[in-house]
Amino acid sequence: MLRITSAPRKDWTRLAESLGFKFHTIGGEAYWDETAYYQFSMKQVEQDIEDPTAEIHQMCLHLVDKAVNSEQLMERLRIPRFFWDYVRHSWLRRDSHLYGRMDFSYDGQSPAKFYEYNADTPTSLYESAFFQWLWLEQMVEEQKLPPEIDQFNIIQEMLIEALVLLKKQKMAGELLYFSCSQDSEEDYGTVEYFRDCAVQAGLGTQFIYTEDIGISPEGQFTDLEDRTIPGMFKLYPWEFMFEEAFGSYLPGSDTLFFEPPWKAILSNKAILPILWQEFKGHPNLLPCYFEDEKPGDDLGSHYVKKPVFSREGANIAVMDNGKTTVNVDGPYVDSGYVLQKYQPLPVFAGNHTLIGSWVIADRPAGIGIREDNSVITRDSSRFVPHVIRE
Amino acid sequence: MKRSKKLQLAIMGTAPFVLSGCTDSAREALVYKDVASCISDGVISDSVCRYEYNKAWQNHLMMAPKYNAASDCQQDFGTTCQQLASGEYIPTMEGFMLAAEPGSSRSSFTVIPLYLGSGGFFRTGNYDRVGSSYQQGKVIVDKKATAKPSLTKPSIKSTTMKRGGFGSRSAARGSWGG
Repeated sequence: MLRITSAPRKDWTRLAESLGFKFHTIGGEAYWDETAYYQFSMKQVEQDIEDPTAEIHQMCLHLVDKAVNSEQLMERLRIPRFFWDYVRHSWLRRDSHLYGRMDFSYDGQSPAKFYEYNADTPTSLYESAFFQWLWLEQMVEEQKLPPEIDQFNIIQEMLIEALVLLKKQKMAGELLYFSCSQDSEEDYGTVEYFRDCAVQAGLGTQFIYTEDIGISPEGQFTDLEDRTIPGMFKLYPWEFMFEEAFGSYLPGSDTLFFEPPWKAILSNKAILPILWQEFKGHPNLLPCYFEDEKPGDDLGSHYVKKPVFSREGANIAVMDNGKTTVNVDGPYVDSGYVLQKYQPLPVFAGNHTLIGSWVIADRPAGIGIREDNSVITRDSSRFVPHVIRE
Repeated sequence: MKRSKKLQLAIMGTAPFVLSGCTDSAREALVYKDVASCISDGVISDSVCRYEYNKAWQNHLMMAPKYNAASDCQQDFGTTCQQLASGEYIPTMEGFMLAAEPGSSRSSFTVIPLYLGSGGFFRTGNYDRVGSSYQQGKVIVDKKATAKPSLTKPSIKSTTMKRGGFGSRSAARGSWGG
């Protein structure tokens, strides 16, 4: 695994904009960064990232199965009692799921360590699945990279495949709605990309903002033309929906949601100590405990304190011998904490490198890499492409 | 190979655009084989030609007649038929038709993708004949050929008693990626 500096393609910003990638620069800071790329060997990708991704996904599904049948675990996962049956039935019905992203710390040599599973509302999909792929195709075309070079990236192809199945098995000619809330260009880009794949899979689609969703007197969710919503992809976390005013209508509604309600179990950081308890010693897992239980000796005195519900690195603190060494502020303060053994990200040319490994339906499908100047990867991170080269 | 051989986008990157002030009889329509012929006809502006062509392309991907066998597709449309990711076959889009939407408060076009049937005639996805591929521009077509094809089951019309019950937490944060 190497970090190699590289000349950006001429006019790539114009290309990005013409292809709907409007968040390539966020708040004046570069987000898409092709001044470098990461290079892996095939063995590193397949044995060190792809295989553990598949295995951890199966381990996670095993825990979902366990959790829906255990009141104690559902409580630990902070899923409100009112939604226990809703989540449980969604799992027992085997509601289809489409995507998720696992975050790993990996340095090219030691086993990749699993940080967490963004299983409900992951972003950076478009840049991983499409723009990264296009970058490599054009670099090869311009003879800046040799033709035998490769990339681990069948994300879009598999996503369309999953959507074709969804169309045949679940949607039966009905419209699939796509939604996100109003204030994020990045969220909107991710949702539009998802909708693009759905169109290519032959589904009928419609966009609606989360805030515009209505409720009918019969308790069905409605669009802006008062039509009921048969299916909806929502880039909005389940734990928020459970708490908000319309949450109480969820169990009675006929809307099929993506990701499905059972994903609420996996996107939740309380799954991390449960995973450690169940698979203690697994080479890709980090020791992890609930803050309110007695930690095992394997946690040590250098660990990361993460809120059960948190995104974009918010409210995460690094503790060393009882002292806080790094701390990120944020809004997620009301959900309890888990403690995960400190496993710093590897540093390449001064950058802290995080691997995002995509799971489409149940299969590993590709990776995307983000760099940050800090040990905690936040929304200020940059997306850097990768290649596989022997 | 660990990556896809070919990827495309269907809808991203085309800016929304609101059209104004076009009144045409429902039976009159504009037919073009591509953006260039639309622009050279001079009836509508360059940017509208491009926008409507993109819309036709999106509609094509969603509404093109689908066949399970390539031979059935070729029998109707002769031209090269493409296979979708779903395994079905659709004809290649060879042109597009613009018809004014009557009675719409905000005048806009219904855009219908066109295919080539036998004899060089443009056909809609419903196989209505709408003129020859050698003639571009204004054509008189049967009203039913300009009807918006419906792709999906219409969802159930209901009433809405309240909106805004989701999204209250969104103001408090940035993005969801994690």
